[in-house]
Amino acid sequence: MRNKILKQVSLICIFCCMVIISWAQMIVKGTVRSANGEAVSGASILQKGQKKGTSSNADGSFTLSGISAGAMLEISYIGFETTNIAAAATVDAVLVPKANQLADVEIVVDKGYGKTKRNAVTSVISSVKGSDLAGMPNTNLGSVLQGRASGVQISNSGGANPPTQKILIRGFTSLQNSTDPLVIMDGINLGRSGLNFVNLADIENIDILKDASGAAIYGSDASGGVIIITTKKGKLGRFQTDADVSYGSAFYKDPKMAGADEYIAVQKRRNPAYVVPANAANTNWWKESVKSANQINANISFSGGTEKLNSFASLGYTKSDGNYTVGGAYWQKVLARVNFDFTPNKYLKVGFNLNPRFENWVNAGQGDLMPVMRTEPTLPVFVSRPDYNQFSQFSQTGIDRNSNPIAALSRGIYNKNYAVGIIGATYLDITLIKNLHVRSQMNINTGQGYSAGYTPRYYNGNLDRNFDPTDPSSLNKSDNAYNNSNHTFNWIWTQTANYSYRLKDAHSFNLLAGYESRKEYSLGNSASRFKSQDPTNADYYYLNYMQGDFISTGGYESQDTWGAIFGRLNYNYKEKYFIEGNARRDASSRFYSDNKYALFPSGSIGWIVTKEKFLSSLKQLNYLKLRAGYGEIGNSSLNDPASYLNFLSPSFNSVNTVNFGNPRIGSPIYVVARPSNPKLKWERDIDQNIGFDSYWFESRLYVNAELYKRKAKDLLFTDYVGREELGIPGGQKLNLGQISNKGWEATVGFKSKQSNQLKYDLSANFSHNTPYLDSYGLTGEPVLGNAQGYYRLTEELQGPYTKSEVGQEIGRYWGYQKVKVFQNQTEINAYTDKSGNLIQPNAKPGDFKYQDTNGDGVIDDKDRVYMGSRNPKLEVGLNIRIEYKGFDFAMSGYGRFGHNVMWFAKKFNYQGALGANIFAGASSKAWSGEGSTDANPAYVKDGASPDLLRFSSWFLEKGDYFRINNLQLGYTIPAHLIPKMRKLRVYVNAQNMITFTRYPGINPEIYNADLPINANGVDISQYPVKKTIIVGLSIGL
Amino acid sequence: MKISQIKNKFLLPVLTMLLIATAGCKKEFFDKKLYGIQDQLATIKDETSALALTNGCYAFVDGTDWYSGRFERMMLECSSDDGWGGNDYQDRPTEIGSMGFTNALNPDNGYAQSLFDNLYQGVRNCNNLMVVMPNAPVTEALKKRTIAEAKFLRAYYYFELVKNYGDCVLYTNLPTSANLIPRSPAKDVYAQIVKDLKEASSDLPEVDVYAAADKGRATKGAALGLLSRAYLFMEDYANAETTAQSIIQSNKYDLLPNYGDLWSINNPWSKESLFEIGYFPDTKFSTGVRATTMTWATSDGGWGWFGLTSDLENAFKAEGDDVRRKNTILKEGDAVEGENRTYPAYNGQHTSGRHFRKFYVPIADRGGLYGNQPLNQIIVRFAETLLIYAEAAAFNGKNPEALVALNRVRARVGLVPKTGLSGDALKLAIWNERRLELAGERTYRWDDIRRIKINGKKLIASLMGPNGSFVKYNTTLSTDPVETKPHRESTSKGTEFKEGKNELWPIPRTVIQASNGTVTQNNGY
Repeated sequence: MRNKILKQVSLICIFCCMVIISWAQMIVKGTVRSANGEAVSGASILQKGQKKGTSSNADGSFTLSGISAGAMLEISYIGFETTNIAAAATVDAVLVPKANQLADVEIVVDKGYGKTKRNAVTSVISSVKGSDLAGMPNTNLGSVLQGRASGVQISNSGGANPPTQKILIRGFTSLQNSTDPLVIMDGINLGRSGLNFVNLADIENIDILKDASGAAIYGSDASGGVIIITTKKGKLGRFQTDADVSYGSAFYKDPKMAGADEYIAVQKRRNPAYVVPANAANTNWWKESVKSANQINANISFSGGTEKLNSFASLGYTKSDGNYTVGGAYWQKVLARVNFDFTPNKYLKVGFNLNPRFENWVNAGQGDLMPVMRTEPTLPVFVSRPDYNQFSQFSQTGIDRNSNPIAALSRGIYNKNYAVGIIGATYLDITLIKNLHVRSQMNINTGQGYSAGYTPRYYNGNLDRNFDPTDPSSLNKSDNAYNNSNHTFNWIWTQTANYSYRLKDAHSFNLLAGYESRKEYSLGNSASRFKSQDPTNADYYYLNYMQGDFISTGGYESQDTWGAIFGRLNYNYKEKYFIEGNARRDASSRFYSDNKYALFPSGSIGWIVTKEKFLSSLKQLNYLKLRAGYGEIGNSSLNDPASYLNFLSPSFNSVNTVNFGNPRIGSPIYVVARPSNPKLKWERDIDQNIGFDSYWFESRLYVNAELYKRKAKDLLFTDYVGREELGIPGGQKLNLGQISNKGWEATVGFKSKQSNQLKYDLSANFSHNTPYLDSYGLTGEPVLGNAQGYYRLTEELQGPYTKSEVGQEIGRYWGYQKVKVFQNQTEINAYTDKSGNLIQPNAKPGDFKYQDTNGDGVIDDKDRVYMGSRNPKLEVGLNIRIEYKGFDFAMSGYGRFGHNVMWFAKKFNYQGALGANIFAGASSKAWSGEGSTDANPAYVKDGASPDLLRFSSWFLEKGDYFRINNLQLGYTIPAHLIPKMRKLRVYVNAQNMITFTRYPGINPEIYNADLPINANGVDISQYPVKKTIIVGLSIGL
Repeated sequence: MKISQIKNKFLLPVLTMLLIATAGCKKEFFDKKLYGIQDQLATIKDETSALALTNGCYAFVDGTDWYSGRFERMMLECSSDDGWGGNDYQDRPTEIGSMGFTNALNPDNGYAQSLFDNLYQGVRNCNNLMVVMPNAPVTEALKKRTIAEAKFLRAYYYFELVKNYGDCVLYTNLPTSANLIPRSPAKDVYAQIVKDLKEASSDLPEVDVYAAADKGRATKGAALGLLSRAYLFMEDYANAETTAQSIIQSNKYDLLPNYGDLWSINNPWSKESLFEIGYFPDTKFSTGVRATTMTWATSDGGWGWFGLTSDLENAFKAEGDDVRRKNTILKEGDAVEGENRTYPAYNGQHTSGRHFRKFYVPIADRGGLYGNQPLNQIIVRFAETLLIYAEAAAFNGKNPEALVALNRVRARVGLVPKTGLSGDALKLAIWNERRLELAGERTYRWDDIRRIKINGKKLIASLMGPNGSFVKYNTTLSTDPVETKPHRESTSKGTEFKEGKNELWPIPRTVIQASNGTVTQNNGY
């Protein structure tokens, strides 16, 4: 323990020292205020003609050293006119707001291998300021970005630790492979799932490249868009310390399941032969299993800089406990960072950043919330019988997923997971001649993960089943331990040269040329083995103390390489007309021979119309830029890189080992595993975009909009089925199919005058995207949405539930149209075809009446119709910020409208299928006799009514919702009350507190990580929304 | 510093660095070895690897695990009048127990697809071997034998395909072009099966020629046994008779004196076995056969799949056949032969409380991980050859010869000889003998009820359907105390059977899709 503290203290000291090195003494003192007397924080104070400078504190004050008398100081801040003042011992500068507050277009954005003012951007980039994310729970960047930018759809899937999100930028372009955006942090490629490694508190800015004309410069893997994260750097002339601590609680809303009385009544209605179990309890599984959980965040950062050195160092800690009462689940991570830039002379700049991380977590046993909501309340939590322990799991129905969640969750107590990693980069930037910068940057991203666990002996089965404890084969499992580890090592080496040239103050050129190579390498191993030497002693729960058989052993090693040569030319004429052209030639080891290489061009143009004379008379319109872009981008994202080898699979360790000889011994076998496709080539995504940015009424109203079309052709397609009749086994990689996305997005915002005391910024963004299947697969047959094996969806529904046809929207639900519920036999008898035959002869009163859509007198596959879509017609994000006299308030919300959710769980939550528990009160909604309801069918035994097994419109619900996903109220203590501090702010943050929806299930925001995207949007007992409330304190010194 | 100086100081080194970086990352950088993957051309380099490739062709005969291939085969037998799904505590017994007759058997059905896929994987591996082996660095004798083994196995796979799916996409090479092949008529598939088996039988060694370590490889006897079965299905009784006769006259095979010994783990590759898949439990690997454990009662550590019907039990009783009844049906509550215990009962868990004795493994002999048991699976056995001979002889009008073969099978289990039978009565006696002798094994009953025609009508059509005799028995006549209880699994199985449709399984939708309709669907699906 003492060692641990020592380590931590010394670590912090090292950070401090690194920062102090770069900090120097100062002499000039002063303040920066606006015309109405308010302190301006963050204003830049520079000695004219020199690189010496600093920036102002929260109270507007600054101190600057080594300034010679009579020198001029240049004081500037975004949105204000720049002022020049002669240096003196005390300087009080007053800044006047710019007449035309076009601060926004002056903001610098990262467009990939270079930064530029937003004014010059011709592609589609959304930006999120780091300061807007301050104080949000530091669990995952993905979820806090929800609703912040148009065209960026973020779905939280599950409430598990660590939390996961699905991020789709402008829809998706593959039905099989990853469509996640690429994450770039300070030029380091973190891959398609790198958001988890970023400390929220370190973020200065996020730029999201949404179209290919912008993203193409990143080439391979950028086909899902790019999220560029810029982390905080030390600021000139100021050493500062920032700390932030917060504490809070995360909890779920109780879905309120039925108690034993209602459950028993429903089971009796479902099956008159149902016998109430002798030991029937009345267990509230939700209350037994779920609790609210603590969340702790702490961050400290140090930053500062001189003209030669600046640096930033931070340490962040997050811990969130699991929401289960047993199993001891938690997740904690430590993220550290050092950014260091050194400018020894005007020709050279070097620097590095290092981003080590440590994570560890415990998963909650072998359970999730589904059994919590499905298990029958009649089952007691613990059953005391000889040889059974707390991990034994009993069920009265005998159905897999209706079994005691407490027992399953309890098994988590012996599992542990650790992950450590470092993301780092070092660069050298040389100014060869004026305006020519050559840069070489080496990035590494390496990580190691380890997990180990022990599953005790337990018993699974029916509560009242005969069981002979002396018969070992009756015990479901022996105890066992597992041990897995994995290592990744990725590096990227980038060389770029950037040259800018300005001709006659009118023609500006900027040329970028670069070369990049990248390698990803990973290896790992795993083993699990039965039977501890001493199952009663946790010290023997490790692989080396296991003495039974190995259950499995495994190992893998893989390497992939990529490379590219790229170039970009920017030209503008008088900052009025802009042209950008990109070309990138990519290479990847995933393809064969010449197919490794492919060229991807892109380009965009912009025109600031308001700079034209003919618009100068229109005073209300301050700024209007029209943009158009076209881009092509390559995708090499395959679910398995071995794309071109025809290979065999040896099977020494599976059941299909063939045994010959007497005595029988296992004989090694080879089977044909997968045929090659040497012709496989890059998938090509092609984007077209037009849009505009505009500012109105003293730039207080801003409106921008985009219209786009994305097309992915030569889709990388894994032919899982194969053409067995041709001897082509499944698994061949092919370029087959094309997917398009068409959509638009718009942002409207309105903000206060810069000089107002009440400051506000209200904005709303709107997006719409529809994916289309242009062609697919070997023959262009429709793609049916099946979920074979996934909670037995296809079996329970007797077939597919979505259908995607060539030329049409992807992922529409496809099933039988429910007309009503048959109230009596007369109605069944009256439902006949033209010749008087009953259309549903097997129906009973209380069954659904289905539409015979093709009028052939029978209800079969041919009667299926399209019934709504999972793709929202409109997505809305809402962001509000208000500041007044030290108080700040922020709210953001996100919603989806005009789509359907397939509520598969209705079968359980309403109808109690397979003996599952129902929502409290749901039994009053089922059909209970003539005239009772047309909404829901009668309670029947599983499988008793074949007519009820169809996937019908009954399962579809309107999925519209709007969620206030973030509410924050803060108060900054006035500077004069805390003279020794730069900043002191207290705040309260509440996440996901209010959801406006009519969706009757648990949660309308659905993404099924295990289902293909064309069969997604199925509520199988979705996790409820995790709500959090935290209180926090930020200190700046 | 002047610009020219800067150039000298920086430009050259930097440009050189860029050039090196570019040159150093040329083509080779993008040719990365893929670890852990066996490229076929590089892998088949000696006798061991050539044999491994041959062994791979056997891997699909019995399915590769309980869930791929093996379970589907058990389900086929569950669809007959001999079996139930049996497992009455999980949520799919009805679908599985009467697979052939409900809406669950549609072109999207995962089981129908899995069996199809499993069998074509077998075909593909055999074809691959026949392409690769002629150029492999092994002796000519080994080439000849392994190719003959592959031909035998290919015939086996196509036979299973044609029985269950009808007309087949037929190919005997590794097509390189993406041209899609339409289905060939069943008679062409049978012609290929006969051709492969004839060639295999002339090239394969006799059973006693193999070294001990090769026990279990395809033999001449195995090829002839399968060939006689194929002739029977083709209704080519002349060839069926001569082929079966040649096996009988070879004197390489005989009935075991004790019927029950056939399913002992201590009796692998017996005198009665013509072809058999070996299983042993390696405690390090999950080898062995799990189909066994799946059939045991849940109270015996099993899953309770594949329960046997009281209709089958009645058939044994009607014949006074106690030996085979006890060795076929393990009834809950009855004493377990050879073990000092009563078979544990839990009626609520099983549709009929009758388990499949031929898959039973005594507690003392159980082993292996995940219930994978060391019980070999006999694919072709001599008793069947005798009955094929008897049936073919009966059709060829050789009644006395037929009776001799029939009675040889009956004598082993102590049944009185049949005498004086001819015509339909003789055939019915032989078919009943097949049901009793081969009950539950290798889909014999399911195949027979779809093959046997009585008065021009297939047997399945008189057993199943709303007025079928088996359906009538279960819904109105039966007094069996277990089967007549309410069950999750519907005991009115067979009501939904449709003649002209359910004799075959559907071609998987994905296959039809992949062929753009060149491959057609079976009637009624």
